Amino acid sequence: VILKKLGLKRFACFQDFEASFEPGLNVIKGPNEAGKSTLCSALLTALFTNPKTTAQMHRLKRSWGSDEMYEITLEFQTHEGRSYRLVKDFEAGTSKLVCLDDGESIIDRDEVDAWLKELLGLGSEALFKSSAFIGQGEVTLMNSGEIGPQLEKVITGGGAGVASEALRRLDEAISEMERGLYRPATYPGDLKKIQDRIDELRSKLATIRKGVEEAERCRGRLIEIEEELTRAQDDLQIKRGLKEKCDKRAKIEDQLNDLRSREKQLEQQMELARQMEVPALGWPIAGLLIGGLLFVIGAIGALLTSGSLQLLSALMGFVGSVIVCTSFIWYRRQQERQQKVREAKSSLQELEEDRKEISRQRRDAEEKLEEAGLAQASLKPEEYERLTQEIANLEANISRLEEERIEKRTVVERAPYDVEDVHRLEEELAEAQQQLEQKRERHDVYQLAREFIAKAQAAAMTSAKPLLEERMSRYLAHITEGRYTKVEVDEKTLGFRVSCGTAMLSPIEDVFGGTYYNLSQGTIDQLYLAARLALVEIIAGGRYPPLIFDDPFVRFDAERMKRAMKLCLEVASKHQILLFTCRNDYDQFARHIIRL
Amino acid sequence: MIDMDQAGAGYIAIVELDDAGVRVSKERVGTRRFAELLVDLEGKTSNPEVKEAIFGQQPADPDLVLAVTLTGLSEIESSLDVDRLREELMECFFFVRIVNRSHPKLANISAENYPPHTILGKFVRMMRERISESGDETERRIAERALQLGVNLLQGKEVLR
Repeated sequence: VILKKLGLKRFACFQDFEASFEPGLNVIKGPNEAGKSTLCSALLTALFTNPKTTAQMHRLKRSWGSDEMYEITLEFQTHEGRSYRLVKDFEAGTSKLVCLDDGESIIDRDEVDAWLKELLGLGSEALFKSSAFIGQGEVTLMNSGEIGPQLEKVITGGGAGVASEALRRLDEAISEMERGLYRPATYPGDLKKIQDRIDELRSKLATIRKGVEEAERCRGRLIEIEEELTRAQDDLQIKRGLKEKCDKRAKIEDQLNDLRSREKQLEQQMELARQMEVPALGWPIAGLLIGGLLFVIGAIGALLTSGSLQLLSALMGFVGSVIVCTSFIWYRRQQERQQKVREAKSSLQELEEDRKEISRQRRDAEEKLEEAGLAQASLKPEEYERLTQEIANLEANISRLEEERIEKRTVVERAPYDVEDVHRLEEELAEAQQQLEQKRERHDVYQLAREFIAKAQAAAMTSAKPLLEERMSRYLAHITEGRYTKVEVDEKTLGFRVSCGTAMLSPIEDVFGGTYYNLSQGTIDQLYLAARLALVEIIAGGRYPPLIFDDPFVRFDAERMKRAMKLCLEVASKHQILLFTCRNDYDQFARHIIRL
Repeated sequence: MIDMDQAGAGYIAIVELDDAGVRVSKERVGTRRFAELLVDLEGKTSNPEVKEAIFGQQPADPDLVLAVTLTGLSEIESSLDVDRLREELMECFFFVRIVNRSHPKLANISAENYPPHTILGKFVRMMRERISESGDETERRIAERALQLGVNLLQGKEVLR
């Protein structure tokens, strides 16, 4: 690429500026604050900055006192000889690339950017700055992170940093999948999400399964309770029936005993009544008569006699009166007895009726005993007592079972989940586990692909190492006039080791974490200049971006500066070089000098 | 809900007994159905092509539980994304499960096709060696897919979401 013309409007100190360039070495010369660094910045902005940017650092590049953003026009020619004009209007946020040969244009910003990167062979401003651009004191500022992918491109023969991009995307994908696995994350990745889902399902399943098992146990127990209740109620019914019969039998037997007793009593009364005889009144009457006669005889004798006869008569009278009294009492009692006997005799009929009635009742009771099957319902007292106890136990058991039935029914009715829910969750869990398995497999695929791409990349980078080392060694030897002849490159870190005679000098880490070589600063600058020239040759992959040097040789001694400039002239046969300086030292080498 | 292996679920058998004899008929009572499909990935390199093959066998049905098994030899340049395919199919079916049992068509990834000094060439050679050393089916499948993925990535293809 050969830059032909640069036009600036409202860019920093340049309100309206235009400069033309030639192929080969161009020296842009001017005193301090003439705008050399501004022009370097304008070139980089033209080549790499999105005109729609709102970054403060780009807004600060406006001309002083101007509210309007700048516009940069860059005309250039490709090695195929085609001329183009690039216009980036940062006020309008537009890019336009016009082919000056056929008038074709591209106005899509992304397309313009892609076209420029392809043309330059350097995919980013950072990479350009690491290789093709050297600012003041920036020789050693190379970004190895950007150089690696470009080296890949050289090695793979096409595609910008495809392996690094693949690794980056795999890292992103793996990181995305693993997010939240090893440390908490607000938005976890797929693996964590599915793992969490599985944990949640397992926990829910365990809870539901426990509830369902409890409900199922209750259902099973309910069935057992129903069976136990049926058995207990049947048993109770039988036992109660037996007890009722026993009670009934006992009652009937009591009645029977009573009836038998009464019947017997009646029979005895009847027998007694039948055996009763009416007491005779003859002897009491005879007593009365004899006693009266004795009393009369005694009274008459007492009246009529005296002395012993009189006493005897009085005694006879007395005895007679006693006999009368006694006989009268006896008579009265006999009369009462007669009355009773007569009454008894007269109630015999009633007694007979009563006996018959009781006898009938007794027979009825005996029949009842036979008819109701109560004959066998005869238990000994201890057996009856045991039966009563068994009935009480059964009643208590039934009551307990009924209470338990209510309790179990409540558990079953209130159970929020059933076996179907368990099956559904098991299905969901199996599905989630399968998903996790698939994701893990995908994760393993990514990991393996990443591991082997990295290995392949390292192996391929190793193969690029000789090319870089050869170019760097040649350039450094040229600048240092053969003092440093060999450069070794670490393909992983892109660090360098330099040989001076037979000794290899490695970078040394300082206490601040930086590195330095046991070389003079000028020599280090020359080492990195060699590295940049070699890198740009390798990583641009057959394309020839312009090289922009902003006074990079200030620490070179006169001899090495001359040798470096000769090297630059050699390089300038392929790469246009724009060298910005405030000194006249480079005039003798310049093909074209622009004075600011 | 029916299980994922209950083909024909959702029906009852009606048995009619009369003088003429016994008649048994199948009557649908459930809304969900289950179907299982095998899709050969031969010649299919993208989600739309696989979707087309699925819909060719099974029209969209919001009541259908669909189990898809991907089989056969998948093309090396396949950009099939099973997760995305599942998400897309979930919009057309009640539920979708996809199991990928396919193997990449490794015969097309011959080391001779890739220059040995390139990253891609080195990757293919290393992965083929790894595949040949694989101990079991899972390890082999993972290595094969890693090879397929790596080849696509190193060719700059958009195969990762």
